[in-house]
Amino acid sequence: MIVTVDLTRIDAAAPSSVAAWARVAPTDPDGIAAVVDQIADSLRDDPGLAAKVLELLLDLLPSLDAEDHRARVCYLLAQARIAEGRLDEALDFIERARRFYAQAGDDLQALRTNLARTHVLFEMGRHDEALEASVEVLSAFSMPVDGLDEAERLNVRGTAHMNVGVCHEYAGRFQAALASFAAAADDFTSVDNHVMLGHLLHNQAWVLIALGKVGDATAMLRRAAAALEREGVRASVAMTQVALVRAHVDMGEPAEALQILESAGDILDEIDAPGVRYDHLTTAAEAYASLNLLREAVDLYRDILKWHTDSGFEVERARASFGLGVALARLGEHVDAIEALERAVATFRSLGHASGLARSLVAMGDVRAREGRGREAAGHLDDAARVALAGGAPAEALQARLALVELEPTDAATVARNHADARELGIAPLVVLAAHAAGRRALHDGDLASARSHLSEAAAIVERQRRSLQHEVLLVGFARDKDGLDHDLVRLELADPASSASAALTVMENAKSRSLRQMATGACRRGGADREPERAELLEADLHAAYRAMFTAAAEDPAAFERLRRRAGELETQLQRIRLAGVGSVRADAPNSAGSGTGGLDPSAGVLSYFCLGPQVVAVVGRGDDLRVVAVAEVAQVLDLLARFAAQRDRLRLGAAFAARHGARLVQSCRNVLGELHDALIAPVLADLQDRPAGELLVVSPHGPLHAVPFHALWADDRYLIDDRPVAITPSLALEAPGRREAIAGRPLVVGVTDDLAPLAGPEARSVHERIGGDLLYGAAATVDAFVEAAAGRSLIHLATHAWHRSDNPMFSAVRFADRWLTAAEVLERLDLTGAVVVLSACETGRSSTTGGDELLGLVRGFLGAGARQLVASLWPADDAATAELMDQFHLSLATDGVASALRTAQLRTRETFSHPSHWAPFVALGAR
Amino acid sequence: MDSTPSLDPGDLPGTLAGASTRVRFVDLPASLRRTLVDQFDVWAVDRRPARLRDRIKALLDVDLTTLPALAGTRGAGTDTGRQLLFTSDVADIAINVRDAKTPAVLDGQVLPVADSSAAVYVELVLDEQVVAEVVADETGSFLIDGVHPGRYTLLVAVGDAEIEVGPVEVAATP
Repeated sequence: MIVTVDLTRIDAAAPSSVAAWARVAPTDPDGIAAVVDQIADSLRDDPGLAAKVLELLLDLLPSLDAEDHRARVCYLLAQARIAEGRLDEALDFIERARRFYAQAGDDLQALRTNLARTHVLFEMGRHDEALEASVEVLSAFSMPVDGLDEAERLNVRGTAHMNVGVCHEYAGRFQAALASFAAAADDFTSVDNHVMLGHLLHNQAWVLIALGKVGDATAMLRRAAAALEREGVRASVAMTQVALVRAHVDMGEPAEALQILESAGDILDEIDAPGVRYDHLTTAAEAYASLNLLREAVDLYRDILKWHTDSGFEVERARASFGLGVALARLGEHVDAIEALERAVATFRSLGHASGLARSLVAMGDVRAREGRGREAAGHLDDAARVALAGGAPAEALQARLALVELEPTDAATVARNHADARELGIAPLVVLAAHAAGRRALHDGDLASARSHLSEAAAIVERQRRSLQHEVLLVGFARDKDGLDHDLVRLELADPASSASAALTVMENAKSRSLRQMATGACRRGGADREPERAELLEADLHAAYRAMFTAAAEDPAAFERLRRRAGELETQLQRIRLAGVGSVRADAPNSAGSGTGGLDPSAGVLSYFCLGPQVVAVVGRGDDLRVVAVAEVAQVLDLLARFAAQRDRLRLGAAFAARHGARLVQSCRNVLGELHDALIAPVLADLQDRPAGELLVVSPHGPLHAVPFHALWADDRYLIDDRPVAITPSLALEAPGRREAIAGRPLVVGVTDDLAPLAGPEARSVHERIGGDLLYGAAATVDAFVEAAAGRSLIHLATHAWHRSDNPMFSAVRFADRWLTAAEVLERLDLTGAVVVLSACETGRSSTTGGDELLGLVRGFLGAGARQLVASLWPADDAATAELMDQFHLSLATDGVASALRTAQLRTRETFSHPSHWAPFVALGAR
Repeated sequence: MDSTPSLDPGDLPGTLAGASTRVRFVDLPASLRRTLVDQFDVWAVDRRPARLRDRIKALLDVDLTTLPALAGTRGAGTDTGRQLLFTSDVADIAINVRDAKTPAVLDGQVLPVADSSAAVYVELVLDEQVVAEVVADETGSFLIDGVHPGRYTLLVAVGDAEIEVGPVEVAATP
C-alpha cells in the first residue's frame, strides 16, 4: 500500500485528537505505518518538519491504538533531535526506543538503536563509547538473521561500518577508517542505497582532507552532493555542500566557497535543519575570515557560540571558538583571542581531535608572536607540529612549521623542504606561504633568480585566487593580508641590477587600489547583493536613527556620541553581514583583470610615486623611461609629522579668541611642520621637479599614510608647492590611463543642505548654482532618494553639506542629506556617477583609511568607485567660511581651467583672506584627467 | 627611551628644522643621565631665564576631547586628537597628548600673550622630579617624547615668568 500524506498539512493542523488526525492522515494500522515510513524518509530532507509531526504522532499513538509504533517513533525523534543539536534529549529518546523494542521482544532492533547512540556519543566527543556501540551492532548484524529482511540487515551493517570508520577517522586511524568505509560501500551498493552512498562519500572526503588531499576531497564532495541531490534529500545536500565550502576555503578558493555557501543557504531557507544551519553559519564565518572580513566573521562566530551554549555539539563549539580566536587575533584583540583559543585547545585536547588542536595551537602561537612573546609562540608551534604529526595531520604540521619560519631564523634547507612539502600537498594557501618564505630567503641570500622564481610562483597563485573574485567587497578583504608579497616583489625589482626603475614602478602601482581600478573598468561589481532586503531595510532605518542621534550628540554631548557610535557600529556590522551573504554569486560585467601597474599612462607625463616599503618610504620620480628610485624618508617620521600637522590644525579649534590672538604665530608653526614634511618627501626629489615646466600639473601617487599628506601645501623657501604648479592626487597611476574616465556632457547638479552649524553651506550651494547653472536640490528637497535619482548623467556635481570620516568603519563614512546620511557603501551600491566631476564640499571627504593593497576606504572609494572622473574632496575638517569662499572661486576658475588648476587658483585666492593652511588647504583634486 | 641621544651639546638646539629641541631623560642609566644634564646645563647657560618671578598657574580652558566638534566646520570631527589649552596672563599653552602608544609623545606650543619674542623653556615634572627639559623653537613649539604613563606638570618659563601647567595625564596604552 502506498500512502502519501502532506507532512506540512499535518504540521499546520497540529492535530491533538484522533478526529483531527483523521482529517489530514490515515488512521488504519497500515496507513500509520506508511506515514511513519514517510517521516523517516523526510528526516534527511527536512528534519525540523519531521520532528514536529513525530511529536504530534507520539502523543496520539495510544488514541490511534498504534502503540507498537512507539519504539520507532521515539527512535526517529532521537534522530531529529540530533539534527537539532539537542543531544541529551536525543539520548533519552534512544533509550526509550531501545526499551520499547526490548519490551516487544525485538532484541535486534533494540540493539540497532546503538547506531543513533553512536552518532550522539560521537557528537559529544565520547569517541571510545561511540566506537564500542558501533562494533556491538556490527557483530550482531554481521551474518544473515532469521526473520530479518536481508536488505535491512545490510543497511544496518553498512551504517555500522560507516560509524566505525568515522570513529577511526577522529582517532587519526585513517587507513582503518577507509577500510571501514569500503566495507560500508559494499553493503550500500548491494542494496542500492544511494542516500547512504552519498553520505559515505562525504565521510570519505573528510579523511582525504585530514590527509591533506583537499583537491581529491573536493571532487568527492561534489560527487556526494550530486548523488544526494538526485535522491532529493535536501538537508543532506546542504550538509555536503557546506563540507564542500570548507574544502574550498582550505584550498584557497573563496569565490567557489561563497557561491556554494549561498546555494546551501537557499536550501536551508526552505527547510528546518538547525544543526546543518549552524554548520553552514560556522562555515560562512570561516569563509569570511579567509577573506579577512573579520568583523563580520567575529559577529557570526559570537552568534554561533550563543547557540552552541545549549547544543551538545562539542566539536562544533570548539571549531567556532577556534575561528573566533583566529579572527580576533587578526583584529589585534589579543586578550579575547587567547581566551577563545584556550577554550578551543581545551576541548580539542579532551576530544583527542588532532587537527583541531594543532590548528588552535598554531593560532595561539600566532597571537603570542604578534605580542612579541617569541618564546611562548615557538612553544605553541612546536607543540602544534608534534600533535599534528602524531595525529596524522600533515597540512597542520606544515602550517606549524611555516609559522615557525616566520618566527625564528631558519636554515635554507628547512625552507626548501617546507616548500616541497607544500607543493606535494597542493593546498594553495600553504604553497603561497611556503613559496613566499622561499622567495624571501633567496632575496635575503642575494639569489635573485631563485627569489624571482619563488615569488612569482606565490604571486601567480594569489593572482589566480584574486581573479576568481567578482565583488569589490571580497577583493578588498582578499587584499588585506597580501602586502608582504607585493612588498617583496618591489624589493626584488629594486635589488635586481638587471631590472629598472620602470619595472619597480609597475609593481608598485600594480599594488595600489586594485579593486578601485577594477570598478572603473567593470571588472568587479559593487553593491546589489542583499539576500534579505527587508531585514536590511529595518537595520538601515535603525542605523539612520542612530546617525541622527549621533549628529545631535556630536554637537552637545561627546559621551553620548561615543555610546551612539558603538551602537551604530553594531548595526553596521549586522548590515555588512547581510550584504555579504549575497555577494558570492554576483558576477562582474567584464573579466577580472586589474590592468598592469602604470596602465596606459602617457609616457611623457611626469611621475611622482611613493611606496612605503617596510619602514622606508621610497619614491619613483621622472618622466617616460627617465625614472629614478629615491629613498626619501622613514614611515615613522612621516607619521610623526602628520600627527604634528593634525595638532597644528586642531589649534584653530581651541577657540576664535585664541586663534585671533596668535594667528600669525600659528600660521608660522604650521608652516614649519609642512616644511619638515617637504624636507622629508619633496626635497630628495626636488631636482627632478624643478626641471619641469612652470605650471605643469604634478600628479602624485601616494601610498599608505602618505594619502593624508597635503602635498600641495608643503612649504619650502617661503613658498607652498602649489605656488609653482597645480597638484593632483591619484590612488594609482594606472587609474589615470587614457580612456578610463572620459568626461561626459550633462547638466550640473548642485546640492545644498542647510544647517545651523554650518550656516554657509546652503548659501554656497545657491551661489555655485547661480554660477554654473544646472539643477539644484536645496534644503528639504535635498533628500538621498532625490539625489540618487538625479545624479546619473551629470558632468559636474557639487555637494555642500556636512560629512564625516569613520576611521572605525570607513565605508560607513557619510555625507549628510536633508533626510538622512548617505554612506560610502551606499554610494557604491546605488549611484552611477560615470564621467562626472564631483565636488564634496564638506569635512574630511577626501580622507581615507587604507587597508591591504593600499585600497582606500571612505568616501573617495565610494565616489570614484561609482564612476566619478575626478573628485574635489577635503583631507581634514573644512572651515565653513573659508570653504564657501574657496568654492566660489573654484567654480569661477573651472569655467576656463581643469580641476586641479581651478582648485589651485581658488586656494591661492582664499589664502589671501584665510592665511592658515587649515583653512585654505583642506581640499585636494583626486584624479588627474 | 627609544634611542641613544647625542652627547654633543652642539646637536641639541635647533637641529630639527622648525621643531622643538628634545632631550629625553627617562630610563637613562644614571651616569649617562648625569652627563646629559651637565651638558644641557652648559648649553642652556644663556638660554635659561636668569631671574624668575613668582610662579603663576595656568588654567585649563579647553579640552578638545570634551568639546562639541561641529560648530563652524562641516563634519562631526569623529577622530579629534587630545589637545588641551591652558591659559594664563603671560601665555597660552596648547598641549597635545599622543598616548595611543607607550611611551607617549607630548608636543605643544607656548604662545606668549604680549612679548612674542621671549625665549620659552619647558620642564616636564613627575613627582616633583624634572624628567625632561626642552627649549621651544621660535614659534613656541616643543616636543617631548619617551613619556611614560603618569600625571605630569609642566613648568614653562617665558621670559622672566614661570607658569605651572597641569596636571596632564598620560595614559597607558590599552
